[in-house]
Amino acid sequence: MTRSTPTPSELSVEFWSAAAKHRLLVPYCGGCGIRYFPPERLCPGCGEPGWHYVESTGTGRVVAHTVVHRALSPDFATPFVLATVEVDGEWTMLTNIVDCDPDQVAVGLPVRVRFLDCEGGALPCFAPESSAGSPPDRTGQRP
Amino acid sequence: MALRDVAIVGLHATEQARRLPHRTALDLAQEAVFGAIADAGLRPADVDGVAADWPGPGGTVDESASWSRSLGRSLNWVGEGMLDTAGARGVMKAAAAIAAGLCDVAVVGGGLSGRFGGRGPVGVAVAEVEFVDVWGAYSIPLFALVAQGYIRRFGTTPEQLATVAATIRNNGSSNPEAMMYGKGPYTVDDILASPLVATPFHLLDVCITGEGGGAVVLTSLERARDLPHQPVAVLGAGMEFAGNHGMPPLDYRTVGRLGAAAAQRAFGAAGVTARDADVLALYDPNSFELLRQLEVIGLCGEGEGGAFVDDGHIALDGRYPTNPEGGCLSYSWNGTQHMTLKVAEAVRQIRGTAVHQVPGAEVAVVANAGSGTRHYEVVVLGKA
Repeated sequence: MTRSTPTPSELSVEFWSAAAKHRLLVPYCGGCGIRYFPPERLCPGCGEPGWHYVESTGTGRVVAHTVVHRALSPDFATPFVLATVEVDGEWTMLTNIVDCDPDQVAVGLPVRVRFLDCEGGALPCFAPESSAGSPPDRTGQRP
Repeated sequence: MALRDVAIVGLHATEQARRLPHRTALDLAQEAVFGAIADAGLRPADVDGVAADWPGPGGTVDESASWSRSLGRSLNWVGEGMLDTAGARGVMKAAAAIAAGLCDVAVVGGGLSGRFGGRGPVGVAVAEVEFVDVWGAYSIPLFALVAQGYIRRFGTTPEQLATVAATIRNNGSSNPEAMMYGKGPYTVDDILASPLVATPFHLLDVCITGEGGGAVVLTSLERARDLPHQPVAVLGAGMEFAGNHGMPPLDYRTVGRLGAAAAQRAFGAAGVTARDADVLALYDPNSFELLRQLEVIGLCGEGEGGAFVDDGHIALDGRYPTNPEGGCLSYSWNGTQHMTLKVAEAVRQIRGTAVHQVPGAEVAVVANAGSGTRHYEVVVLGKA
């Protein structure tokens, strides 16, 4: 059971390269000043192509979540939490909430990025802020 | 000519099953297409517009013009690509082409085998979707993310969702054409006792997967008057897209009301409201998505779907019988052509030839997809 990073596009190769080093990046548009996700060639805020990646704080809160009991792939141990997380108070991404009891996850739960090392790099997952005392780069864990 | 001057005049549904190992996709598509043309009382050479799956062998995969040789004539119009060959979207685009004078007789449909069948509770995307697959997301959990936000806001109970699933599944239990024919009947408790797939969905809250085909034929209402069946007019239509299919992330705040604007446009063109519908053929990939659509098409207010279902309105003997053939929960989910089968069921209801016939049905609402997929297509069909 091994999870892996996706095949990056020319828009996302920098995101995944940084993730492999446990850094969470997000597209930032200098023109209109917004952060957005996933990456698009033209900024969804103003339609301009002049964006670049910036470092995220890696902190956020859960805005939607589901506990998945049936995975399509044996690479995923069940149950696991799939969630929409609002990061930096501004942009949202799909992710997994890890290192906690799935029943502990609730809308509004403060979370912090926790990288899951895997084949091809690392996946930015999130864990409850309350468990942030543990090392952020533990390897081999699965949601 | 306007959309309402176009009618559905032919339909065909192939066998539907979890697996059809003795069938190929082309075999199913050709049975569906030629079956629908024959049902319309037309000959293959009468068809000059095609939006139908072409899976090969022969021709060019996914190019509708590949049908030209099978039909024995050149074509005047084709539709192809994502869902243009199926369901409400396929029907409204073909009807628009006929209304615009681009073609005279169009067929919409196709078939599928060997791709989704027997692979568990849901169809698997063939192409990798970045920022989705890596989190273990697939259609059921993606719809679940939307459902969870709705439930948190409106307090919908698991029993209310299960009532939707049990109602639709029990329609299919007694439909000999349904994949799940003879299974059930199911109680609310049976639904809730089935294993969880992704909260709030149990296995019996979500659609089946399988294989099969279907097709419908459209032409002008004027020409339809000379054909054997009661014409069913395309009274109005609308579609709506909240970004591309599968675009992450999802939550009720952003996609919860998807389809309301499309439905408003469709009913506006049709000159009727959802309350004038005699029968509904709504998309039911899961119990929640059907409940959500009862609200967005305007049968009840936002957050009132649970109570609406509790009142028995969607049952066969209710005011708005919904998916009388069993829908995607029991009759068929086969990739994309289950969407065409919803059109076919609505047409059968208006013809008066459905397995579970709603007495005197004259107006039907057919809709495809929903919040978890960011697209919604709706057509209003009526006795012409």
